[in-house]
Amino acid sequence: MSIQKNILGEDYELVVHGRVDGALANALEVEVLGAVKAGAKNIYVNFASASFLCSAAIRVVMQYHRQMKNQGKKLLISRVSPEVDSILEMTGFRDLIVEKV
Amino acid sequence: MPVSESESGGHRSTVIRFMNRVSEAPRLHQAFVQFLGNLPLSPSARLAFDLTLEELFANLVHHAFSDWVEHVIEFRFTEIGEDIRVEVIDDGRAFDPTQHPAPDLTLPIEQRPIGGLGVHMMLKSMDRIEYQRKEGRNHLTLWRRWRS
Repeated sequence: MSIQKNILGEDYELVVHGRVDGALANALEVEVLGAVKAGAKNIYVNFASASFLCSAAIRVVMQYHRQMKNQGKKLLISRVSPEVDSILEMTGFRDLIVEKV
Repeated sequence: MPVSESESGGHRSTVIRFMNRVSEAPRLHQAFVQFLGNLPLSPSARLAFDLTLEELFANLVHHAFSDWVEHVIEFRFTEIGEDIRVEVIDDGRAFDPTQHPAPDLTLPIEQRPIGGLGVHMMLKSMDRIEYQRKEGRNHLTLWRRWRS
Protein backbone atom coordinates (compact mmCIF):
# COMPACT_ATOMS: atom_id res chain seq x y z
CA MET A 1 0.00 0.00 0.00
CA SER A 2 1.25 3.44 -0.87
CA ILE A 3 0.33 6.92 -2.03
CA GLN A 4 1.85 8.36 -5.18
CA LYS A 5 1.74 12.13 -5.75
CA ASN A 6 1.51 13.71 -9.23
CA ILE A 7 1.68 17.50 -9.50
CA LEU A 8 0.61 19.46 -12.56
CA GLY A 9 0.77 23.17 -11.81
CA GLU A 10 -1.77 23.82 -9.05
CA ASP A 11 -3.46 20.44 -9.53
CA TYR A 12 -2.46 17.54 -7.32
CA GLU A 13 -3.36 13.92 -7.93
CA LEU A 14 -2.93 11.47 -5.06
CA VAL A 15 -2.95 7.87 -6.31
CA VAL A 16 -3.76 5.52 -3.46
CA HIS A 17 -2.82 1.85 -3.84
CA GLY A 18 -3.96 -1.20 -1.90
CA ARG A 19 -6.10 -1.61 1.16
CA VAL A 20 -7.07 1.81 2.51
CA ASP A 21 -7.43 0.96 6.20
CA GLY A 22 -7.10 3.30 9.19
CA ALA A 23 -3.31 3.57 8.87
CA LEU A 24 -3.43 4.43 5.16
CA ALA A 25 -6.31 6.86 5.83
CA ASN A 26 -3.97 8.72 8.22
CA ALA A 27 -1.24 8.73 5.57
CA LEU A 28 -3.75 10.08 3.04
CA GLU A 29 -4.66 12.92 5.41
CA VAL A 30 -0.97 13.82 5.74
CA GLU A 31 -0.62 13.93 1.93
CA VAL A 32 -3.80 15.99 1.52
CA LEU A 33 -2.63 18.44 4.19
CA GLY A 34 0.74 18.68 2.46
CA ALA A 35 -0.96 19.51 -0.85
CA VAL A 36 -3.21 22.10 0.84
CA LYS A 37 -0.19 23.77 2.48
CA ALA A 38 1.69 23.73 -0.82
CA GLY A 39 -1.14 25.81 -2.32
CA ALA A 40 -2.98 23.17 -4.37
CA LYS A 41 -6.03 24.57 -6.13
CA ASN A 42 -7.48 21.19 -7.05
CA ILE A 43 -6.77 17.87 -5.36
CA TYR A 44 -7.88 14.64 -7.04
CA VAL A 45 -7.75 11.39 -5.10
CA ASN A 46 -7.39 8.38 -7.38
CA PHE A 47 -8.69 5.13 -5.84
CA ALA A 48 -8.52 3.05 -9.07
CA SER A 49 -5.89 0.79 -7.49
CA ALA A 50 -7.48 0.67 -4.04
CA SER A 51 -9.03 -2.65 -3.05
CA PHE A 52 -10.80 -1.39 0.06
CA LEU A 53 -11.82 1.91 1.65
CA CYS A 54 -12.58 2.34 5.36
CA SER A 55 -14.84 5.02 6.83
CA ALA A 56 -11.82 6.94 8.17
CA ALA A 57 -10.62 7.47 4.59
CA ILE A 58 -14.09 8.63 3.52
CA ARG A 59 -14.04 11.09 6.42
CA VAL A 60 -10.69 12.48 5.23
CA VAL A 61 -12.09 13.02 1.72
CA MET A 62 -15.33 14.53 3.06
CA GLN A 63 -13.60 16.83 5.55
CA TYR A 64 -11.10 18.26 3.07
CA HIS A 65 -13.69 18.41 0.29
CA ARG A 66 -15.66 20.80 2.54
CA GLN A 67 -12.59 22.77 3.57
CA MET A 68 -11.37 23.20 -0.02
CA LYS A 69 -14.86 24.12 -1.25
CA ASN A 70 -15.11 26.86 1.38
CA GLN A 71 -11.93 28.34 -0.09
CA GLY A 72 -13.22 28.15 -3.66
CA LYS A 73 -11.00 25.12 -4.37
CA LYS A 74 -11.72 21.44 -5.07
CA LEU A 75 -10.99 18.04 -3.61
CA LEU A 76 -12.66 15.23 -5.51
CA ILE A 77 -12.22 11.55 -6.27
CA SER A 78 -10.93 11.10 -9.81
CA ARG A 79 -11.08 7.31 -10.28
CA VAL A 80 -12.38 4.32 -8.36
CA SER A 81 -11.99 0.56 -8.38
CA PRO A 82 -15.21 -1.55 -8.39
CA GLU A 83 -14.72 -2.19 -4.66
CA VAL A 84 -14.34 1.48 -3.80
CA ASP A 85 -17.28 2.33 -6.06
CA SER A 86 -19.55 -0.07 -4.18
CA ILE A 87 -18.42 1.35 -0.81
CA LEU A 88 -19.07 4.92 -1.97
CA GLU A 89 -22.49 3.89 -3.23
CA MET A 90 -23.30 2.19 0.08
CA THR A 91 -22.36 5.34 2.00
CA GLY A 92 -23.91 7.82 -0.43
CA PHE A 93 -20.66 9.46 -1.46
CA ARG A 94 -20.60 8.78 -5.21
CA ASP A 95 -21.19 12.51 -5.74
CA LEU A 96 -17.53 13.02 -4.83
CA ILE A 97 -16.39 11.17 -7.95
CA VAL A 98 -15.44 13.18 -11.00
CA GLU A 99 -14.03 11.93 -14.27
CA LYS A 100 -11.32 14.55 -14.51
CA VAL A 101 -7.72 13.42 -14.43
CA MET B 1 -2.03 -16.49 16.73
CA PRO B 2 -5.40 -18.16 17.35
CA VAL B 3 -6.17 -19.00 20.98
CA SER B 4 -8.03 -22.08 19.85
CA GLU B 5 -9.14 -23.79 16.70
CA SER B 6 -11.83 -26.43 16.70
CA GLU B 7 -14.13 -28.42 14.50
CA SER B 8 -17.35 -29.94 15.72
CA GLY B 9 -20.57 -30.91 13.97
CA GLY B 10 -18.98 -29.83 10.68
CA HIS B 11 -18.48 -26.28 12.03
CA ARG B 12 -14.93 -24.99 11.82
CA SER B 13 -14.14 -22.37 14.44
CA THR B 14 -11.25 -20.10 15.48
CA VAL B 15 -10.98 -17.92 18.59
CA ILE B 16 -8.46 -15.12 18.71
CA ARG B 17 -7.93 -12.25 21.15
CA PHE B 18 -6.70 -8.72 20.57
CA MET B 19 -5.80 -5.76 22.74
CA ASN B 20 -7.69 -2.49 22.24
CA ARG B 21 -4.91 -0.90 20.22
CA VAL B 22 -5.07 0.56 16.72
CA SER B 23 -1.93 -1.40 15.88
CA GLU B 24 -3.84 -4.67 16.34
CA ALA B 25 -6.10 -4.01 13.32
CA PRO B 26 -3.77 -5.58 10.72
CA ARG B 27 -3.44 -8.67 12.92
CA LEU B 28 -7.25 -9.03 12.97
CA HIS B 29 -7.32 -8.81 9.17
CA GLN B 30 -4.57 -11.42 8.90
CA ALA B 31 -6.31 -13.72 11.41
CA PHE B 32 -9.51 -13.64 9.36
CA VAL B 33 -7.65 -14.31 6.11
CA GLN B 34 -5.93 -17.23 7.84
CA PHE B 35 -9.29 -18.55 9.09
CA LEU B 36 -10.75 -18.40 5.56
CA GLY B 37 -7.93 -20.52 4.17
CA ASN B 38 -9.03 -21.80 0.78
CA LEU B 39 -12.74 -21.09 1.27
CA PRO B 40 -13.85 -19.63 -2.10
CA LEU B 41 -15.56 -16.49 -0.83
CA SER B 42 -17.37 -14.33 -3.38
CA PRO B 43 -15.67 -10.95 -3.92
CA SER B 44 -18.65 -9.16 -2.36
CA ALA B 45 -18.57 -11.40 0.72
CA ARG B 46 -14.83 -10.82 1.11
CA LEU B 47 -15.32 -7.05 0.89
CA ALA B 48 -18.26 -7.18 3.31
CA PHE B 49 -16.25 -9.00 5.98
CA ASP B 50 -13.16 -6.87 5.39
CA LEU B 51 -15.21 -3.68 5.86
CA THR B 52 -17.13 -4.98 8.85
CA LEU B 53 -14.08 -6.19 10.77
CA GLU B 54 -12.15 -2.97 10.09
CA GLU B 55 -15.03 -0.72 11.14
CA LEU B 56 -16.03 -2.83 14.12
CA PHE B 57 -12.52 -2.97 15.52
CA ALA B 58 -11.87 0.75 14.92
CA ASN B 59 -15.14 1.58 16.68
CA LEU B 60 -14.20 -0.53 19.69
CA VAL B 61 -10.68 0.90 19.98
CA HIS B 62 -11.81 4.52 19.60
CA HIS B 63 -15.13 4.55 21.45
CA ALA B 64 -15.69 1.52 23.73
CA PHE B 65 -13.26 2.28 26.54
CA SER B 66 -12.94 5.42 28.63
CA ASP B 67 -10.00 4.36 30.83
CA TRP B 68 -6.30 3.92 30.03
CA VAL B 69 -6.25 0.24 30.88
CA GLU B 70 -5.65 -2.36 28.18
CA HIS B 71 -8.69 -4.46 27.36
CA VAL B 72 -9.05 -7.77 25.57
CA ILE B 73 -11.42 -8.07 22.62
CA GLU B 74 -12.28 -11.63 21.65
CA PHE B 75 -13.25 -12.69 18.13
CA ARG B 76 -14.63 -16.10 17.22
CA PHE B 77 -14.96 -16.96 13.52
CA THR B 78 -17.15 -19.95 12.62
CA GLU B 79 -17.98 -21.48 9.26
CA ILE B 80 -21.52 -22.87 9.39
CA GLY B 81 -22.61 -24.29 6.04
CA GLU B 82 -23.20 -21.35 3.72
CA ASP B 83 -22.62 -18.79 6.49
CA ILE B 84 -19.67 -17.33 8.30
CA ARG B 85 -20.50 -16.23 11.81
CA VAL B 86 -18.37 -13.68 13.67
CA GLU B 87 -18.83 -13.31 17.42
CA VAL B 88 -17.21 -10.41 19.25
CA ILE B 89 -17.00 -10.03 23.02
CA ASP B 90 -15.65 -6.96 24.82
CA ASP B 91 -15.99 -5.35 28.24
CA GLY B 92 -16.37 -1.80 26.94
CA ARG B 93 -19.33 0.49 27.43
CA ALA B 94 -22.68 -0.91 26.31
CA PHE B 95 -23.26 -0.24 22.64
CA ASP B 96 -25.89 -1.84 20.44
CA PRO B 97 -25.04 -1.03 16.82
CA THR B 98 -28.38 -2.41 15.62
CA GLN B 99 -30.09 0.50 17.40
CA HIS B 100 -27.74 3.11 15.96
CA PRO B 101 -29.67 5.66 13.86
CA ALA B 102 -28.90 5.42 10.16
CA PRO B 103 -27.16 8.47 8.66
CA ASP B 104 -29.26 10.61 6.34
CA LEU B 105 -27.66 9.85 2.96
CA THR B 106 -29.97 12.30 1.21
CA LEU B 107 -28.29 15.32 2.84
CA PRO B 108 -25.83 17.24 0.69
CA ILE B 109 -22.25 16.15 1.35
CA GLU B 110 -21.49 19.52 2.93
CA GLN B 111 -24.14 18.92 5.62
CA ARG B 112 -23.46 15.27 6.45
CA PRO B 113 -22.37 14.47 10.01
CA ILE B 114 -18.79 13.20 10.18
CA GLY B 115 -19.51 10.25 12.53
CA GLY B 116 -21.65 7.12 12.26
CA LEU B 117 -20.45 5.95 8.85
CA GLY B 118 -18.61 2.89 10.12
CA VAL B 119 -21.63 1.42 11.89
CA HIS B 120 -23.77 2.08 8.81
CA MET B 121 -21.22 0.25 6.62
CA MET B 122 -21.22 -2.70 9.01
CA LEU B 123 -25.03 -2.93 9.14
CA LYS B 124 -25.29 -2.74 5.35
CA SER B 125 -22.58 -5.37 4.80
CA MET B 126 -23.91 -8.18 7.01
CA ASP B 127 -26.99 -10.37 6.54
CA ARG B 128 -27.86 -10.41 10.25
CA ILE B 129 -26.51 -8.84 13.43
CA GLU B 130 -27.54 -9.62 17.02
CA TYR B 131 -26.50 -7.78 20.16
CA GLN B 132 -26.68 -8.77 23.82
CA ARG B 133 -25.28 -7.22 26.98
CA LYS B 134 -24.35 -10.02 29.39
CA GLU B 135 -22.44 -9.74 32.69
CA GLY B 136 -20.97 -6.35 31.83
CA ARG B 137 -19.87 -7.41 28.34
CA ASN B 138 -21.03 -6.66 24.83
CA HIS B 139 -21.76 -9.78 22.77
CA LEU B 140 -22.12 -9.00 19.10
CA THR B 141 -22.86 -11.75 16.57
CA LEU B 142 -22.78 -11.20 12.83
CA TRP B 143 -23.69 -13.53 9.98
CA ARG B 144 -23.18 -13.37 6.27
CA ARG B 145 -23.34 -15.89 3.43
CA TRP B 146 -19.92 -16.44 1.96
CA ARG B 147 -20.87 -17.63 -1.55
CA SER B 148 -22.88 -14.56 -2.63
